[in-house]
Amino acid sequence: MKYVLSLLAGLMLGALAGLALILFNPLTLNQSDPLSNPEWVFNYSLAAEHTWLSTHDDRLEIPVVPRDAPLLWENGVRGSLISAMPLQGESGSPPAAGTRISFASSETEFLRSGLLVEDHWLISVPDVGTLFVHATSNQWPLLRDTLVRVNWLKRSWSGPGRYDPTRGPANAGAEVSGLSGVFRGLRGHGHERLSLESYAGSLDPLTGQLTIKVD
Amino acid sequence: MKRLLQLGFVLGLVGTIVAAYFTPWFEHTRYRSLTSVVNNGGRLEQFVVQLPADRIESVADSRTGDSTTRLSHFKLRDAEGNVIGLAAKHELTVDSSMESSWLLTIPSRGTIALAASSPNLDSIESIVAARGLAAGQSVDQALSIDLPSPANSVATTGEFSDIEFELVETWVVTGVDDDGNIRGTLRLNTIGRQST
Repeated sequence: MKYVLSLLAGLMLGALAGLALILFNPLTLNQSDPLSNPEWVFNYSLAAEHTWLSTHDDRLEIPVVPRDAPLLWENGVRGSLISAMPLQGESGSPPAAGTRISFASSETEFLRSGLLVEDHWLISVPDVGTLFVHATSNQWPLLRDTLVRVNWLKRSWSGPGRYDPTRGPANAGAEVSGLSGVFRGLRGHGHERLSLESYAGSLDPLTGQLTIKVD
Repeated sequence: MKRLLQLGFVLGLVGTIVAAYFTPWFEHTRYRSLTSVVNNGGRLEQFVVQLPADRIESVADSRTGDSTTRLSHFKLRDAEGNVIGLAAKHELTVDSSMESSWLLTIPSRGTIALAASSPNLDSIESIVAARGLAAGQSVDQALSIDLPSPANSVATTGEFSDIEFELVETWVVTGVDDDGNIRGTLRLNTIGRQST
């Protein structure tokens, strides 16, 4: 019996050491570099009062807006997030409107890539046109600092935090395609930066900045 | 006993790391693609939006003067009625033409981004109103309305990569609710052809 207990104790210690390695694995905590001199900048906030729509399968720490928005509970869309929000440009730029559809990537693994999310944006600028942005983002650093550290491990928030999650799909970042209006035919790249000033169990205070650089 | 403890430690460590790499963390439910071959080549697939059940939220953004951007968001079904994805449509006027952009996202398959441009600035709601159906009214014989300008794909991802799509919107309208929202079925007929 004592031999079995020794083996089990070893297994548990090894598993805990493995989890610690995964938690602090530097390969999954890498941040991407921002784009230099982007032509377009779009700022947004996840706060309910700055969001038109945000709904998911009710497992995310993001408020559902409006409160009666249908949840994405069906098997085919479970794990997805759809949101729509006003986007603020830099001073002098017209305000835009954005829709974001995201879902966790099946390419996710925790040795090299981290928690990958496929983000799809439609961004419409009044009197100008509409852009499509496809980004692959590693959201593990953000979730590690919030959900894992604060919600699960009951440690205090270490922020404020700044995250540059864009990992692809192109080497230069997100892929941007112009769909309509002045943007039609445009190709470029994009990058997202997330900022979290405080965290008390909800990602409500998260703000983001999407930058676009035309090729 | 010490050897067993060490052996267990190594097995636990390696097992956890191997699991972190090989575990399929996120597998999206995949329904079979309901496609058929069309006569002149290409693959036809119909996506369906049942209204009002699949309407997630519609937004009219009019922060910039006369210009209004309409954003519509739906759950997307296959022809057998399974919810397989999400769809978003943006409509705005640019240089006196109506620019419509569609985003069809199916987590298990990929994404299609499409765009259409039309000189007709009428929304589907105003087209339905012009056919005599006002808010709060229903019809026994559903109205079938094909929007005149098909949308063409501009970008695709996943298994839709390297396929060019054309999308035709067909609205089968059975009524308009008191808030002015259409009831009925929106059929999104896509024809995909291999990119040349």
